[in-house]
Amino acid sequence: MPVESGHMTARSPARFEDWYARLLLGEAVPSDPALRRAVSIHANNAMVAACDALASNFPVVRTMLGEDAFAILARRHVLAHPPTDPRLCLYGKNLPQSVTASSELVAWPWLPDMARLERLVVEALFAAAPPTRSRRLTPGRSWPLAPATRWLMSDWPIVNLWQAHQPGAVWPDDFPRHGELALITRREAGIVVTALPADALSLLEALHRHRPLARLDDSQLSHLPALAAAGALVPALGDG
Amino acid sequence: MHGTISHGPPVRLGAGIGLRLPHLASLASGDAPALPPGLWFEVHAENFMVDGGPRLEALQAVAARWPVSLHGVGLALAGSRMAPRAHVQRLRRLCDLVAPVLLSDHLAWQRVDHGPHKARGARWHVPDFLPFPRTRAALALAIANVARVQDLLGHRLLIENLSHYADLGGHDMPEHEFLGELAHASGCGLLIDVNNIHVSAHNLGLDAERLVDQLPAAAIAEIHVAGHRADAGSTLLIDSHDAPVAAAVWALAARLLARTGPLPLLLERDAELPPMAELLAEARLAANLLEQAHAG
Repeated sequence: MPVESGHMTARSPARFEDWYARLLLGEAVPSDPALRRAVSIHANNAMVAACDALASNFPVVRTMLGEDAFAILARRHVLAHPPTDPRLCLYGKNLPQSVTASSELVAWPWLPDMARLERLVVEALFAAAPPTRSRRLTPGRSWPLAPATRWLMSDWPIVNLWQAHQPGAVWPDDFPRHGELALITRREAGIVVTALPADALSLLEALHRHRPLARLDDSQLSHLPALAAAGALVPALGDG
Repeated sequence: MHGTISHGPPVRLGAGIGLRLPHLASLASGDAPALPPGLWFEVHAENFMVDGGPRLEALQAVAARWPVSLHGVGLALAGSRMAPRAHVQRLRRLCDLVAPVLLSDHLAWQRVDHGPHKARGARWHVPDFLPFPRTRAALALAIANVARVQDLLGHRLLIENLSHYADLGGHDMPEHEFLGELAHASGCGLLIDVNNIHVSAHNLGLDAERLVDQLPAAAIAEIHVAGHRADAGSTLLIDSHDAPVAAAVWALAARLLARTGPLPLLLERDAELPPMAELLAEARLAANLLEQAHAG
């Protein structure tokens, strides 16, 4: 690894930043011990801030792995996918990829889906509120999904697993032996994560494509009340 | 250029507290200890620059009852690669929603082209405040960046001095001169963090009182106090915001207030967060300093 001069010589801010960035990334080491320590403090501050954000945004993955294993995963993720947005409350879009890429985690095959679900929870938490004016439903129009609504089809009982890891949750005697379609949305101030019948996926995808109500089949229509009750649809007149 | 920039409403602010997320919900719902009159809050703007949701609604509820300052941590105002325009636009939307009494960010660079994102054209946002040599070129860059953001926001910015952990060398001017010229040329105000001055003076072998005495008092519009800790791996002090404010930092705040007169004085605490009642007790020390400044 190249050893850099203790003091930079570049006069242009951009060249200085490029030089300092190499030190931050460990691509070069300053010869001056004082600068070396200063760079390590900044690098550590940045790493801690990003890892703290991941811990906050993926609490169930963190609980499942434990603090030490999650810290290793988070650090690996930050190095592979450093933050690009100052809004760390939204950081971690690619964490499921990092989980999948971690060979040590193959014994927890549901973990990538749990990371996906928690990412969707973050998106739902910060999504726009639905329009305050109720929309009038007609057969020729679609029923819009609420801005917070997301879903995830998993081969694992992902909703039961998520719910069991919420604060104060009672640990179930057993978990379902089948996959689940997770609906994630926001009702009033609270996040909703609930399991839907697998065939509700077709309705969610149809609404996502703005398919008019008149073109939904009976099976799809049968799931509309559950979506409306969960807060997954924008308020509408005539939805009763 | 700066004739259209709002300097904010004429609210006289005293002692304030950095409002962090664990305390936000209880404050918004009214479930908080009795708060002294005149208290104000400062939040990290980026935590609320989202489309919606309960966190943003809680901030709006707080802003409806108490003065709120937005303290940015991501504009990268001293960088050759500033935060994207969309980021500034999101900050503007947040300003529209909460009508902040003060708006601030740091004199730092934060965006890097290097690393795994380089090939994909994305930039690494370093979530820390990185130092730079105070050259004439850096001053011109910071002035341009601050002026651009103020124009986009229609709001005057307060710019915070950094903590330093090593002397980078290559400076054309001392920090107080850089800050003064930045304020004069861009129309921004200064947010002076006296804990940062204490930490920097210790780490660089400088006289903290002299640094305070050299600051351009007329440009200062807000003061921060915070805690620090000793670095485990060296003799340095770290600007950690995880401890009560040290006596030496309170003394620097008093010294600065003696020069500036009463100014908004904010207690920052980001880690090892104590209960709100404990923060309020510490903020009482800030209020006492301000009373002395009024009396003086």
